[in-house]
Amino acid sequence: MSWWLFFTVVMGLIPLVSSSHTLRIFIFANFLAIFAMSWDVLSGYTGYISFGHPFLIGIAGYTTAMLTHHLAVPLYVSIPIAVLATMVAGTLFFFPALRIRGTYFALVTLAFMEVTYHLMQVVKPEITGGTRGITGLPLLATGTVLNYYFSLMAMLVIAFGLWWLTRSDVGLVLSAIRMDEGAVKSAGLNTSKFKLFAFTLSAFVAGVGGAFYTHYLGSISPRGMFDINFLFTILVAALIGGEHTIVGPILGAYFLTFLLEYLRPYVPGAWRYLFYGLIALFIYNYAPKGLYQIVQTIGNFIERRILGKKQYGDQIT
Amino acid sequence: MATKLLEVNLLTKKFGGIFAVYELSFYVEQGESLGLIGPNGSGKTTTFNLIMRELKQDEGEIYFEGREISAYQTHERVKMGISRTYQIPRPFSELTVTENIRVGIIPDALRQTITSNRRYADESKIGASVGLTPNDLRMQPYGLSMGNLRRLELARTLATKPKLLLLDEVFAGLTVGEISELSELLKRKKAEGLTFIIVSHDLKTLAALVDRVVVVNFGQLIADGSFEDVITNRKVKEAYLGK
Repeated sequence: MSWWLFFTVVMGLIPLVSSSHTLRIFIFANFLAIFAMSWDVLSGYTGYISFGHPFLIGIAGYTTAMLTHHLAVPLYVSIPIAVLATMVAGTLFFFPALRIRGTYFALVTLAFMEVTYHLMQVVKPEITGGTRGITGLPLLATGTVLNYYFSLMAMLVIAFGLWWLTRSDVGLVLSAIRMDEGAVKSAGLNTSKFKLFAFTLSAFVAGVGGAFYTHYLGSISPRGMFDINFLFTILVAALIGGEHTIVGPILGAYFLTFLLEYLRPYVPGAWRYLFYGLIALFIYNYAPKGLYQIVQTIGNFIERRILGKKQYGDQIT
Repeated sequence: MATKLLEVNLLTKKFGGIFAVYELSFYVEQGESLGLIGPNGSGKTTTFNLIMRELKQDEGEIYFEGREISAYQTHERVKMGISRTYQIPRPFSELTVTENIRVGIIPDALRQTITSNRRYADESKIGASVGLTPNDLRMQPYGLSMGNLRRLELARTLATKPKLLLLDEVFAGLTVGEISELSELLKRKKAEGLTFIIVSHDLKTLAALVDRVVVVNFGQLIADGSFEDVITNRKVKEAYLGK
């Protein structure tokens, strides 16, 4: 808990010492952290690997974009509707998960994303904006600092909520489902119910993130949302940070966003992705549980050696 | 007269063109311990899988406490009071032993699981009842011996508060000492009133543990009776040793 407080205070002070350019990177990192946590609570915990998270994020983005653009619905109404729509879309993900898992499930979710990408362009383009999407959407807040605090608050509330939830027995059951779903059923638990909870929760987080992100950018387009690169950025952020930890994806999101940004002047275009691929491989090799493992080791060291706290496994003398 | 806790009637399961279980009928009475034996591939584990609904039978009925349970899913059958262990232990590898046991205790109610706080008192009690030490409880399953893995399986099933336990090859891979300890433990559980069906190739240990034995071969029942009667049965001898 004290680490959360420390993190919140440090992040709250960032605008005092950062340029608006750096703050904008932080804003993107906060949104990526929300998306990566959404992925983590579903795929990291239950082991049902989603390749279709941009589908959920896009449903939220498009719902609020269309409502505000065409019907002039205020944000405080359009965003909750968008989140609800995403939760309904999340249950669409759930039905295949009743019968399939592993690679097959991942491919079905990928199909959700690809199909939606094409549908958004051809079905009623006067409503969806077609290939160009919709621009000129109302903004959540004006000014970089305000947007920073807004994104930070959303990220922290979601992070703390998920962290708290996954520390309860729900987290234990979802983790057990990842390890051996059959054995969880044999322990008398209805895994479908717990999976539905994880899917809906993940969709809720993706919905909140997607709607806020759309109104931060002020525009939305099919290529910007239902994109394979967007998907991989979310996946790598969650994996590089450390899956099924909730905290890991936040670390991964910050690391990845800043890495890509700081590589920009030195490495042109898509070559940057090669570098982050190599760095990801390096981290997996030496810390299979990602950055979370590294931070945890450092944290334990500080608590043990500097603060003098006893830890699990220490000899009691 | 003792009541039948579980009864299977003309149970049939086919994989492709092969009958894994064919018109199998047997029962176990309340408080009884039943041995289910047969050569490798005779359909013992498949029968357990059918009773637990990990596989769905093609034909036949399963009655538990007089109620036909074919329509019920695995978790519902566990809640009714049937629980099983696996031939190859299936612990949750990344959880501690205590957490493994906890999965069996957790109620199947979402709201309760969200608001619960883990105190682990019951886990320690159940762990101790099967012979797991406090040190074992803190470990992860990969650090356990086969004997302790079997104990963990047993603890997780006991955590579901079963009326009927299905024990699949519980003595496989254990040392003589571990077999003896586990056998004593099962005798104690039996004395406490637990009913169980036990699959084992260790007939010597089984003889001291069971009230009655059912023998299957090629998915069919070939003998049902006391251990002494069954072991001298001609069909049983042929199934194990050939003609």
